[in-house]
Amino acid sequence: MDYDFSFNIVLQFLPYLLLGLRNTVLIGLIGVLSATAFGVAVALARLSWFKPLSMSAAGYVAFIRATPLLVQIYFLFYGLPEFGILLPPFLVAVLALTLNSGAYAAEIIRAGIESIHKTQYEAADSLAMTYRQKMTYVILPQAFRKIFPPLVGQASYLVKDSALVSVMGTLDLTKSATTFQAITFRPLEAFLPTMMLYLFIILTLIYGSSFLDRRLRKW
Amino acid sequence: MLIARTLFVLFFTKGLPVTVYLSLLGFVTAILVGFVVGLVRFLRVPILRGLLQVYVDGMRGLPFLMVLYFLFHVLPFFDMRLTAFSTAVLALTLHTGAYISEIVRGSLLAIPKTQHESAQSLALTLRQRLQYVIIPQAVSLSLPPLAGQIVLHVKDTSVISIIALTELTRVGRIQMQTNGQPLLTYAILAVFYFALCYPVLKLSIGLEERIAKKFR
Repeated sequence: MDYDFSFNIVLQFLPYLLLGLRNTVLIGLIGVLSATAFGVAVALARLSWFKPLSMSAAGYVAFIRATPLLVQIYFLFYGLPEFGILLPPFLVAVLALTLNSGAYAAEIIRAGIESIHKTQYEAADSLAMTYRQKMTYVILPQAFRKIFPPLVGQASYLVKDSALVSVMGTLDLTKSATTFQAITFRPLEAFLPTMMLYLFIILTLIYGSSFLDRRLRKW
Repeated sequence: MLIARTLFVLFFTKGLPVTVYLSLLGFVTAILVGFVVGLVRFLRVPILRGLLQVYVDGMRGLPFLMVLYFLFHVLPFFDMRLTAFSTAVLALTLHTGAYISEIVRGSLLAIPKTQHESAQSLALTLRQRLQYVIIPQAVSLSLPPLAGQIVLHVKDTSVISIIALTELTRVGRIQMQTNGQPLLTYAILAVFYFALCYPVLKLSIGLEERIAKKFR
């Protein structure tokens, strides 16, 4: 019934916790960068006038959005070796999160570009701007304002989703907590510090996203 | 033959039925929690409001897997021995409920002030205002994000396979381990989830477009 919480055990946990934190942050940073780059590519493909390209991009996004990340992770983790591709779990984790988050980022980027009104293009054309000037001075600055805050929000989802890569044995925050829990049978000491770190990272991104949204709207 | 066998096992044994049951049960309870929490936060009930914000932010700031692990491993220490199924439903309810409360609150906040004022000018009580004027309008606004939340909810149920509850993903994993065909088995598993989620995803997008047209 009564659980005596011991800070000594938390201290023992600290080295593993920090290792897990380092990996979660690394996966998060690499994942966000590669997912954004991949998302731009998928969004451009979706907006392409070439039908097969735009349709396969749309199909890809629908498939990712309608299947669980865990199934995608299993598919990559057990499926890639079938093709003779043997990657360390860390890389499979980054790959899975890139493919997953990239589809959501693509939707955000596409919506941002599409939300720029036709009149903006026309106004830029009437000023005899070249395509490049039109994009750099008129369209992209406005699209960026709409895209950036939800992309930060998407980063919060990526960090949250990254907990699932622990099932492949990647030593992230979740894995460090569950391993320590399994060894010591001390769930509170293992989970509370881990949850604090997750809360700090994810809530910073969530509130950062809405702060940026308010700021950039006034701009 | 292998495909037929895998399809059969996923469809008829504890796979698909458990996932559907778990999703429905969890979503119904989550809507109840979400409605109450969202309404209380919208009405700015003192004290409760702050506590509920902590709850909502806690759920939004934690991976579902952590919530699940926490409940699964910590509750027994406090003499609450729940089955894996009850733990799963509890975790789903708490997690999805927090997201739904944000949808409820957002939809209520989206109703323009003039609606409140005109209802007040008709001398309606707070309860009548909410019941006949505000909530009916908010419901139609909340439908597209709620449909989107159903998709996220169904996908979250796959995480529950990790605490050894036999549902679709776990049955798929066991199949993979016996037939040694990960690509095929997980592709079929993905198709099952796709068939469950894609219609709802389409519905969500369709509803959103309808609402966007109405307000243009």
